Amino acid sequence: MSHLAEDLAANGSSAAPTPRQSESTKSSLRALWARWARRILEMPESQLFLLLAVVIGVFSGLAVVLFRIAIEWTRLSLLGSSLAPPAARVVIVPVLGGILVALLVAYVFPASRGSGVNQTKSAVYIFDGYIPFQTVIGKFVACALAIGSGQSLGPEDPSLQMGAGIASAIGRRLQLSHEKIRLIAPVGAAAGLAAAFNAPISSVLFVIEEIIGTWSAAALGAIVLAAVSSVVTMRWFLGSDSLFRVPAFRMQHPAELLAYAVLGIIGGALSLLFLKWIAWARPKLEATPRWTRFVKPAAAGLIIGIIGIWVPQIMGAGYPVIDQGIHGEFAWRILFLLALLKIFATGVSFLSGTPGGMFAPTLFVGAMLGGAVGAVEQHFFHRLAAAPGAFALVGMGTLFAGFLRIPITSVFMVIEVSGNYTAVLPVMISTMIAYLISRRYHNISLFDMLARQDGLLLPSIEELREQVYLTVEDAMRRDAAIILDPTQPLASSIRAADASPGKALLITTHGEWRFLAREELERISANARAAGTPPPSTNAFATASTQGPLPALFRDQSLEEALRLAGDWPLLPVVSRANLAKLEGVIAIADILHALRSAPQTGVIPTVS
Amino acid sequence: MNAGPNPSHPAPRHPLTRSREAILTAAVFLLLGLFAITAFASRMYHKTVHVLADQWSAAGESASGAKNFPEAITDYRNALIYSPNNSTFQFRLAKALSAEGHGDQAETYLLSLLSESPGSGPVNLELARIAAHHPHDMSDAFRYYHAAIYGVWDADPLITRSEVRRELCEFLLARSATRLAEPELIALADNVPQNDVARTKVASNLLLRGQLYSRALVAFQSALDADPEDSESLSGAATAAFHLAKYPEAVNFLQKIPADQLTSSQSDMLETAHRVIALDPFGVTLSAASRAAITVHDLDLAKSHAGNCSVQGGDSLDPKVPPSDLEKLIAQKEANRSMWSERMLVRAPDRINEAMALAFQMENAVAAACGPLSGPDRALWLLGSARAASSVMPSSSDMGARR
Repeated sequence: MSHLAEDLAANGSSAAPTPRQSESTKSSLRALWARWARRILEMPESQLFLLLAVVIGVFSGLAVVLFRIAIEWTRLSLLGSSLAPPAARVVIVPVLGGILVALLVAYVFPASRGSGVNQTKSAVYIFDGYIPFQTVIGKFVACALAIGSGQSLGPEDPSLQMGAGIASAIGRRLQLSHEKIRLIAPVGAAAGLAAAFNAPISSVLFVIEEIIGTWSAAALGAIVLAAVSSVVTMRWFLGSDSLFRVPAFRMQHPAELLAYAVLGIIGGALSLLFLKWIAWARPKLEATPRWTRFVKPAAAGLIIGIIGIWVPQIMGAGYPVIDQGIHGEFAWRILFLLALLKIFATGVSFLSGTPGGMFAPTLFVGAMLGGAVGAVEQHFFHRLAAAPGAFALVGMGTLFAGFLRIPITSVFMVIEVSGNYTAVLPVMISTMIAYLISRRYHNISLFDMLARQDGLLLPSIEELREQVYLTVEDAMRRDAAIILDPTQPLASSIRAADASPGKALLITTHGEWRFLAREELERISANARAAGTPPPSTNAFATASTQGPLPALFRDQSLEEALRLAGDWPLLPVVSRANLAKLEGVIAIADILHALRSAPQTGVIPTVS
Repeated sequence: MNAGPNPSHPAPRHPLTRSREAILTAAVFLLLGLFAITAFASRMYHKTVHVLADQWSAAGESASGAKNFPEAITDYRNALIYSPNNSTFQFRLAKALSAEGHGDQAETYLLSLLSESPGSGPVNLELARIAAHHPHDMSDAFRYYHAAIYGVWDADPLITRSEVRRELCEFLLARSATRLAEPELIALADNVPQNDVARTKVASNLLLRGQLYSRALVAFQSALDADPEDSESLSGAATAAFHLAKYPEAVNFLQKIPADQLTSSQSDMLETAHRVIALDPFGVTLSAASRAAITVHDLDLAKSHAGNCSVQGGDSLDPKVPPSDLEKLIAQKEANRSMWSERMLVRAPDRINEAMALAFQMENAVAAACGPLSGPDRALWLLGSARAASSVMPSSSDMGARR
């Protein structure tokens, strides 16, 4: 701004501008903008990347605001403004919506199928960060139509993909480096999800937990910036209220945690049911003839419409119903029925190939289940259980962890969407139990399963998380070397070496390590004897005939790191972090390879089929 | 000499940089355009949503007004879709839920509202009303009613608080929690404006129900100052005076009620009061002879009742008082016959107390052995009770009222 002011002051005057002065001002502004643009574009790419993260966040925030408005307007136009629309509309609208969505997906936006999470992962790991912008438009239009017409799907995962698509387009247009374009899609994904959930921390965690899989310093700053800027943009237009209004509650007694543990067990079981239903039905429906893709979304709409005549709560994303559940407006039988029907309806919608997300339905099922369990426990153990609303809130996190298998995100998500920190302990207990049950009885996470069913071998973040990382300690040999004292005469070193046959010889001075070959020691000793000269000290000998200084390793370093440092050295010393002169073991390339070969194999063997 | 770069002839830029510049410029314009579109769309959206919320809320209000609470609940729920954080809609929904008997659901909404504004009078009052339905525990209701009384009220806070206190008093009296009700009743009566006859009458009736007869009498008298012929106040004042053993006053109030407006209970009260006055030998205006005559009459009356009760075979209601006690009392009366004759009582009026004490003892024994008393029996028993009560310290609250 100061540059603009200076330029304007230099060119302007207090009197009304003449045409020439006006032209001059315009050209000054143009020059000023050109200077700023150059300054931006000439930034180091790492800085430009951070700036772009903010821009991506703003774009994603705006897109998500428009997306949410589009869904609402579609719903209002097609189904009306009541929670329980007339029966005729409830049946007809999802069917017609399904037909339109099928045509859009088949002919205009073929890449907009699915939830969006795996598509974003594919962009990162397969397509070098490339997501066609057409997908963004496709997701926007098809999902708004599908969700607005009552399909049991949510807007969060599509928002995530829209954010990733916007980021990818910006990165490509600005001709960022290959590496940055690959990183930019998760940045956009975090922005999209953050705006959709109004939860920046959870979205950052989700992208790290599910898409990137590592706390990469290169991406973390940009992801955080994008998430924050998108949430700020979204709040600018839609307000800063939490997604759900949770009644105040507090834990009265630690024994209450037992009640939440029970919720974790039941939530884990229901997550399994949900997972198994998708795992069983999806391959069967995918194997149906190609023409059925025109019929499936409409058929799904018909099924949902028929259920919706009696239970309209299962239609759409279901946020108002979640709110009612949190406020204890349903009896436990109704809550349990709603959870089961929502699982069925969401499965039907998702399996039909209708684009839309799984996050909102998962929250719905979790809230209903939590409310039901809470109500039952409160009935039988009045002192043990808090209000059902608290259980509904914890239930959301429980299903999230059990079904989507993102335990850390689940904990933070519950806190963020409710603005209630009291829930943290119950959520931690319940989510972990549900996660462990789900992991025990279904060995692959939902997104990994969907990717593999589609023939994509995307890296499984869950498997990566549980992979055993080998360290130097796993491969090093203890007592495999002796340390020679450089101040001692060579003869005593020879005696020491002879006393420990087969061990490597190392010399250390001031924390610097050298390797002495046994043959070399014997050769010099023999030469000295033949010449009749007195044998030199170990130190004098060592500086002439050893290999080194050797790079030292610590036992907690990874084997990959050790392999990189090993180079052509015959072996490397493993030393203490507290005392670099203290030898803890030695490691050679052969040791590293042996350890790596002995480790359990976790990779996937691709097959042609 | 190096003249440096000539600003009028800038160095030619790389085409890639120029294209990136153009893209950046386009991105800025696109961002501004998208911002404007989003602002427009969001404004339209908020407007639509606002209208829908108001429409559904109005529908809910109208359904509530028609006592159609199920429809009102649906309407308010619909209103909350479009304005989920609207505390007015939440409160109205909670009221409708409560009216429909879904107290637990209403309570959740109200607790949520309470966490946002703990001092809200209306929210605390609704919570109190829901808690008042709990059959065994009235501590929550009491706490919420108190919070409502001292809470924030937007319109007419003084009157509203007084109304809430009245509701609390009625709740406590309905639960027979007289001791808890006592301070609330006193506060209620003390806070009624002097010229507000209607509220004074309400407070007086509650004081009467709370057995704070002295305060009730004072309050009814203050209502009568404004309207001396108000039969409700006259009846209330008469009842209070009757319970305070101020029988002449009770008669006075009851006689001011037109005869055709007297209820049967009021007629009974009047008759009993007349009898008590007639059987009372301690009246200050009575001559010594009259006192002696009344005493002898009372003793004979008591003896006759005791004899009848004893003859009935001691259909005892209280095992502590066997019929033989009645016989002992009758025997005592017979033993003192000569001392408690009319002539002797005129000569020694101090024996009247002794004689009447025996008469009261006999009536008490009859009441315990043969059940509720009626007619002259009851009158004599009431007289005895009043004499006994006059020797006991009155309650602190009543003392306040007397002062």
